[in-house]
Amino acid sequence: MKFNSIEFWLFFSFVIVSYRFLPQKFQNRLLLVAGYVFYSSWDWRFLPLLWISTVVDYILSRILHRSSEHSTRVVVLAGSIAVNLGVLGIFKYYDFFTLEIVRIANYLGADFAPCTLGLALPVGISFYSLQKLGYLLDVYYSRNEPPANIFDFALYTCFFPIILSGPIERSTQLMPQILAPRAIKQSDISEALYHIFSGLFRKVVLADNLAPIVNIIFSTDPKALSGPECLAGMYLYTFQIYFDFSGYSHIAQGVAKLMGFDVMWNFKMPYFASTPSEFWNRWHISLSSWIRDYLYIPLGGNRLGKVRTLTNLTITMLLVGLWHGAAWNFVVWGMFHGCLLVAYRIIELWGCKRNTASIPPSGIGNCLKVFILFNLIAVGWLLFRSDSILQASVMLWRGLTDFSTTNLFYYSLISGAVYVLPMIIFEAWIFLSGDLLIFSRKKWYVQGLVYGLVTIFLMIFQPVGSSEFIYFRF
Amino acid sequence: MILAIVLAGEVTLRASMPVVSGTLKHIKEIPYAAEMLSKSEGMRILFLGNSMINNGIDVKIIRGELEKNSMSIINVAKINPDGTDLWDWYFLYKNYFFLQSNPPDLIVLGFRSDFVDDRRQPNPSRLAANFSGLNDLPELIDFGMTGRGEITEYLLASSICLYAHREAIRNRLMDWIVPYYRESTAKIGANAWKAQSEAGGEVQGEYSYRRLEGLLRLVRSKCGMVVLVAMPTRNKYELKKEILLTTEKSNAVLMDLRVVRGLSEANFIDAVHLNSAGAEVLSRELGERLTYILSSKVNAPKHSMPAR
Repeated sequence: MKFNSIEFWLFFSFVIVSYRFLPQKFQNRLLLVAGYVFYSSWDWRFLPLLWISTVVDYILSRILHRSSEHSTRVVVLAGSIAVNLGVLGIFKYYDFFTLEIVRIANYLGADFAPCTLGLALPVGISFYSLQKLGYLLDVYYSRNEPPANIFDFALYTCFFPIILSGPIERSTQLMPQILAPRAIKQSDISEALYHIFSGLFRKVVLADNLAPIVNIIFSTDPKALSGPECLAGMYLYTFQIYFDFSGYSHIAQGVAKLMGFDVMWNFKMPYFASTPSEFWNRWHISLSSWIRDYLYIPLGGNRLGKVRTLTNLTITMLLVGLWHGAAWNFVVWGMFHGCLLVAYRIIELWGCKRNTASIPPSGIGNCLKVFILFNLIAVGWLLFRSDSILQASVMLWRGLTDFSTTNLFYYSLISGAVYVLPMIIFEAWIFLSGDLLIFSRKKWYVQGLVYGLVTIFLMIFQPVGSSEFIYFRF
Repeated sequence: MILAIVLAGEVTLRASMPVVSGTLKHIKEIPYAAEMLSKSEGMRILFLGNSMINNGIDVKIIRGELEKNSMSIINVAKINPDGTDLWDWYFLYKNYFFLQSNPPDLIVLGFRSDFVDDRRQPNPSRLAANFSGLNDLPELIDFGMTGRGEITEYLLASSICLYAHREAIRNRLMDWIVPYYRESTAKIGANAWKAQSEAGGEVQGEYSYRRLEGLLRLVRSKCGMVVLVAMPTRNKYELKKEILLTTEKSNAVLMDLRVVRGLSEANFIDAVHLNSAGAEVLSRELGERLTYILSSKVNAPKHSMPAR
């Protein structure tokens, strides 16, 4: 049941109507059942895994909460981290590392045959594992306590708007909402409609129509592509992945909002960032803030000197890359972003030494910084999307050295402009206004007109065979 | 407010449909063509297919060949909406021609093998928009349109014109704005199809032709005759033995025109469509063979023709 399918909206209509008539305790049970139905519509085989991990984590969190002895708490925490990361590791990384170790061993003269498991990746495991880990760490640090009822914890684990691709919620934010009565105001409905229409438009009209152009470019031997075609593929993918993922997150936010839940913003116009640090405060915010709070800061953050800070940045970005998938291009992509963060940090420190950091950037200066960073981010996406480092390198090289234009390039350029420019202008308006929800505050007839047009566009521009949300693969 | 905007769009589209695409204009003319054919005296022949027929068959030449051999008065309708296949042709025949007081005496159906076998997936929007109604849904399900998504799409397309004709509208809009739109989308479509085939692998199992059997049965019930014409293409394709058995069982004629004397690669404008010179060659051959079939209708062999 994809968010952009009629099936999902029929399912959600049934859920929301039932939800409105139930008292709060039964609302939570309904949402739990709905969560399992939703999850099993993707792959029912992994429901037992979800159930078992929910029970295990709940028991461990109760032990953590009750125990006052430090050594016991450390052992239980270590055990719970081992269980969660272990499950994630087996399904996601075991085969990758096994093959790489065997490859290295064979290169060194040994004669091993790889013993891989060939397991399918459970949908959403990368997201719900981090969400549960965050909860356990919050209990350890006494930031939160386990709910009295395992079913409420199960709902925290399997809240259907967010289970498949986030946002990765914090227990300190989501659990209180699960445990308390929820009221829905008129402004909530307005906001929810904005998120839902915005999300569907981004996914169905923008991302799904950019996808075929991107796919044909990346499935062609890069030596057979012209330079401008390579660049078109890179930039169009940059927008495809953004519209796809932000679309999903918006729909998740809107659906949750209609049930009285506030789910965190996952994207805040990331391509208007002027530094990598700002980019990661705007892109996949739930993941980047999770990594910052549960990994970067415990490693020391920026409190242990410049060298340690830069090392910590590199390690965390490497792990962010690896989190996305068991493949070297993701690792290289993570390293690339780590290097960007380090480089910008060094430039910042150098600027401080020369007292230039106190000079406020001019409008043109800021635009230039945004432009430069955008292009660097796009190069990162080229690494991310390519099947291999070699493909990315050849495409980048051709993009920089070959300037021959083709029919496919002109088609990609104009199609891209048609799909991308209006949304960029809309986002620029939001960015400059400083109010993420500025549109939802417009008059009802303005919203109605725009949503009516969006509905027409959703019908007309729905491609035949819409593609899966990109982040479902992670 | 949202519904009002959508309704306004719906009304605008219904009023301007022939402008949206040539194929829609052609489809709108089908009821008129069916009625005219039914009212005509003499032999009624329906040429049915898609753009392969549109490009490859010149009905004037075929009529000329038939009349040259003292056939009775020949009346012809050529119905060839772009991108259609047997899913569409079955319901097109059933809903526009079958119920006429004088249905066609002869249906010449031009195809390439994958257009008529049961592995072909339906296009629910195209079916609902142009050729079938809600009362055809049980038959569609019986033929294999059983996916929840397909049925939902069919129901939506039956009620909302904007949704049903979205491909035509999008193509028209984008064709105006984007350079090389048709050429590039054809390339992208071929790439997507290739990727899907590679991902799906070779489809196992026997070929079946239930839908084709259904059409042949329908035509036979009105004492009509079907000639299935395997059309020439640039890349050769196989005719499965199952289609030979199906046509034999149904007393239809399978005419193998995959190779025609006088046709070469130079006669193709792309992988499947003939140019006008190629259409002339094919039409003369088809006309001669149809003359032979119709003049020896009772004793005509089912799927082989005299060597030439």
